[in-house]
Amino acid sequence: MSHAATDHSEKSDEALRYSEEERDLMDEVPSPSLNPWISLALLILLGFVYLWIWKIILLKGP
Amino acid sequence: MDTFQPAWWLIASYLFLMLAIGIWAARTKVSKVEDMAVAGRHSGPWLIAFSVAATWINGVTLIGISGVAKDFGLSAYWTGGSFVLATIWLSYYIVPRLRATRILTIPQLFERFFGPRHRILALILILLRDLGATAGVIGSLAVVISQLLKISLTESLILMTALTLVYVFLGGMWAILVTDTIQFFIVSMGSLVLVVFGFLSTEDWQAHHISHDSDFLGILGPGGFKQVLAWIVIGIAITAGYQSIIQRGLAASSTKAARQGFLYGGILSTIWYIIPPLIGILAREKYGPNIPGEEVFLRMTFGVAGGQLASIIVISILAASMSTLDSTINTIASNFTIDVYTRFIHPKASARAQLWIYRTNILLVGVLAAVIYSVFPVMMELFWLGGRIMGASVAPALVALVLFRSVRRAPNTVFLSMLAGSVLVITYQLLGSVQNVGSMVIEWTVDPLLVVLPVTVAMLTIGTWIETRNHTFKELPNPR
Repeated sequence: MSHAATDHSEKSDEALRYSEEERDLMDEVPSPSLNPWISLALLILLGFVYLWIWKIILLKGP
Repeated sequence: MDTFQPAWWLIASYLFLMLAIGIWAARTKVSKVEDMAVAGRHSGPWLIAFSVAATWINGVTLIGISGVAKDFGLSAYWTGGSFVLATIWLSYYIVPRLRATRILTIPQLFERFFGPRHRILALILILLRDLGATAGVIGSLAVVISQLLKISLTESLILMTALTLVYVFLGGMWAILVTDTIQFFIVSMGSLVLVVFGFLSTEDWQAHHISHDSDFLGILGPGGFKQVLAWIVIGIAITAGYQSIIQRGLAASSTKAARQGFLYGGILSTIWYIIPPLIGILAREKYGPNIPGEEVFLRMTFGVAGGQLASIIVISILAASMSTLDSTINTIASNFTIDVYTRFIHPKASARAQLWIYRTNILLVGVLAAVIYSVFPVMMELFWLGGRIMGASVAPALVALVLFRSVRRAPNTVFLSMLAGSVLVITYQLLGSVQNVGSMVIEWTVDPLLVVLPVTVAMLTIGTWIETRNHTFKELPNPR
């Protein structure tokens, strides 16, 4: 974020509206190249795998 | 449980430690509202990680999910697992971007983009969720303590609310981050002890019928795909707009610290969340399927552990509940102070006046949440009723705002989507078809969030396209 955007906490609150340029400054923060929705689905899948491992443990007996 | 003699020195030591941290934070760390709300944005990744994990682990998850697991088996994991998996997702896609905006609260972000009416609507919807969650956690804490001390629920509510309020009042987010870290280790140790003793006391696991019941131990469980899907969607939607959690990221000293803190905290709590379902499964094994859900955790604590170990588990319930309660109380106080008082009532208030208003709001929120639980004591549902409203309105709007440039230029769409999502989910929760009202959860024919969330997403998509179809977007520089 540029200084213009990060400086907001010093000003009074009601004066703070993003200008047209400031609206996209959060896009300057790097994000993973993987599509966010695919990564969310993969994480949920990981949860199922974790649960499946516990199912096996419990069925065999701890 | 009737013959249980708690180790008072242990409980007193724990409470004294919490108080000492509050005093330390008040004397050395807190001088303005920003210190109370987001620890002056100076927190490192591990404090954030343990605090995120401790906030997700609370009395409702210990008592509530173990109660749900008695009926739903391993699949009860999803009543909490989806929240913590979504936290890992937030660490990459949402929190670093939000931290970079330098906001203190979520409603503040809506005003920065669209103006005050968006801020007010977002504030109301977030409060519905956070006040419900706070009331639910106070309730779980009060239920345990009233049974332990043989005092009334009202006396227990007053006692536990007061004990938590003291250190939040003194040290705000700083006290929360440090106490949460200690509380995380206490809860992990206590809950692990209970599971280990539970397995040790269940002789010959193979001989028990549950160990051969693959449906009860299945990853979709007796509730089936529809129930698990509802839990997953609720978890993701509520987490995406959960201000108490997101404020941890805003407290980070850098974007990297925010990302790491959420990632580590998400992984820790993802691993831990199997413990309450295991406790529920063990309780069904030991006491049979007719044990009331709300008694599962306590019966296991006093029936399996006993003696000094039971005291450790009791402290872990205290720690689990207080680590969530302190966070939700603090985040609502930040809303009352930053989004209401200094925004609309007294914008020119001095830093000192704002700090004391903040602390007064902490007391106010604690009392308010205790009153809500007194009149509506359905523990887990308190988490979800307000959560569904927020999850069908603010959460999708916030995620869309962070991820999509076009949504940032669609004020009417964002406002109407939030309004419609909240009104529809409230209406459905009032009129929708309920299968069963239990002491832990309400079972719906189709969960309200599954019905309304697609409507909100469709409104955001179509509305944004209509509102911005003539807008020309400038090309952005590559952030890499």
